[in-house]
Amino acid sequence: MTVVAKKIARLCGALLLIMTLGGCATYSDWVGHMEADISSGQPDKALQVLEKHASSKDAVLYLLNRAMLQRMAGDYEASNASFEAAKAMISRVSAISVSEQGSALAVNDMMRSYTGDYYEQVLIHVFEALNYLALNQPDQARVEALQLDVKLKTHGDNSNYEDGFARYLTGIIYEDLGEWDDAMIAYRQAYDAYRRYPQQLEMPVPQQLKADLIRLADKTGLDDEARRYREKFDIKTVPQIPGHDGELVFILNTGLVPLKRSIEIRAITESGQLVTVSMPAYEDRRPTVIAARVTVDGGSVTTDLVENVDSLAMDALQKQKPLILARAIARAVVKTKVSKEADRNNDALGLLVNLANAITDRADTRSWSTLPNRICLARLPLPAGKHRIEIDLLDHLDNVVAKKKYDVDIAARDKRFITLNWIMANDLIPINPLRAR
Amino acid sequence: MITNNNRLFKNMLLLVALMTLGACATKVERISPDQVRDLSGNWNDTDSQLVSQEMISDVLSRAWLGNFQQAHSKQPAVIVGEIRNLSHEHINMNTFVGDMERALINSGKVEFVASKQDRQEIREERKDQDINAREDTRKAMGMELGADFMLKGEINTILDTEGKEQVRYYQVDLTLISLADNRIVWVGQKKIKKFVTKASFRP
Repeated sequence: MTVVAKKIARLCGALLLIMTLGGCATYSDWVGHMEADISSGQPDKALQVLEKHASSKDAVLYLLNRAMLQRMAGDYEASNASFEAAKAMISRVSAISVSEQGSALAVNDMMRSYTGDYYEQVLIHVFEALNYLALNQPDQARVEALQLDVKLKTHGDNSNYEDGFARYLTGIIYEDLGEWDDAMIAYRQAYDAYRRYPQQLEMPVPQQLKADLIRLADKTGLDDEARRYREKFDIKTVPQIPGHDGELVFILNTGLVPLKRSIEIRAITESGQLVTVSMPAYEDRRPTVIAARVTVDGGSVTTDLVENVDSLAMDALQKQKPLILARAIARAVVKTKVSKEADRNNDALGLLVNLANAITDRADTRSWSTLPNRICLARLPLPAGKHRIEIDLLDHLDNVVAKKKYDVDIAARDKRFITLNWIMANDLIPINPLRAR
Repeated sequence: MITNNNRLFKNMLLLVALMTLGACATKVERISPDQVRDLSGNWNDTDSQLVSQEMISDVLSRAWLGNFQQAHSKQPAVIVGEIRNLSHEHINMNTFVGDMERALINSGKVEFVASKQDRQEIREERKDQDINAREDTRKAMGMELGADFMLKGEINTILDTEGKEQVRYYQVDLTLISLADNRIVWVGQKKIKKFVTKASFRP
């Protein structure tokens, strides 16, 4: 075949490719069905969708999603079993696989086993701790708090900030077990962590944490420190928890994290080779409900934002982009070389190899997609006994979107944890949809 | 030159073959319960057995046992109280407590009474017997043997991690407390230290 004929053949192939988009589906394609089931309040159906797409390469991802769906369905024990399995698998798969790296260079990034981003690994411990707290097993939650401490100390992340909510939750767990000094240390670390967040993460220091710092400083007899905090935060009085009272901790998980989409750039080189470079990008989406007002016995408190998982995810991807791009370019070089070699032997084979390489090049869009978009928290001291809790779910304009009621039984000197997962159909729609090609 | 191209092609083919190879079939190998097999570095059955054996043989060889038998001319009744897990791992406390209970009972030197968890079911059964069982086979309420001593304890850990290496230190502390007057008659401690190295590569 002449060079011109070859080029035309390639062009036709490329056009055919673009028209019959099919190719291999990426992770974020089938997740849509699962999300629809979650937003309609059917985590069991979502679990079935998940089971259908389980694959051995993405065992960690499957286990994490399963754990979250089981948690949404209220099956905390099963959820913890899934989390533990995920942790064991991550530990195993963290070792670099020689064969996977090879195939990642030859095919696409999804050939590498998924180990989870750093922020996702931290959130495993956070949600497992919340499961144990819901099961009223604070000692087990304490184990998770210790594991969190180890994880946050030895992180291989190159970010200059630490997860504030992880520290804050650790403090709450220690307080629940009466370990005031450890709780004070954890609250201080949480305060430092929230302060050090860069502006674009949109996570200010929660008001509740400020009140907790002052309250615990008073309790542990650190009067100087309590006075300094009072001046700095401009807070005069802080609600104390009388000795015989308990506490309600209300946690709102709203929306779902955004999904990654694959963006492909295709070009034809002068020798007639089709080259593809694909990069992942987030399609941002915002939840409708961003806070909740908790009303009990005439008093009410509004939740604070404690974890903006959305911005953490986007920041994590932003940091990885240079490395992903380098790998994508290396992959393009390898693939071009391979198809050139095939071409030298046989024209038709060369064309086939070239097209196959182009079709299989998709970005890695895997992420723990059942994570909430935001986590909000409110704490309320209550006398022991039965109480009726009313929750008003608020949007960004402070309108009440929905109401929920709970009946709780508070025990003295005990904390009760209530979690609400709120995902609406509108939460799944991206703000600026990317045209995935 | 042509051989170079062929080699590259062959290498790519080999890579593809590697990808599709997958794992071999599952293997099962039965091993005896007292064989030591440390896989992940976490607390395993060997740790549980080691600690319980050593601690129980220690507690049964101390002075408090003799003193009690002299003072009351009967064997002491022991109950296992709360053993707290203050470590980094979700240790299965049931197997650990079970190992200790077994060692205590089988020694024959102490009387052993059911712990708090088991008692509830037994009491309900007794209540049921009161209503449903035959007169001469009914077991009366209020005839339980009150324990003389309670065994309490905790497991603590200290971790030291650097890169792929980790030193794990477990400390198990047990105390035997007299229920009559809160005296602590025995304190036992067992330390376990492990050095764990994580794999850097895998196939």
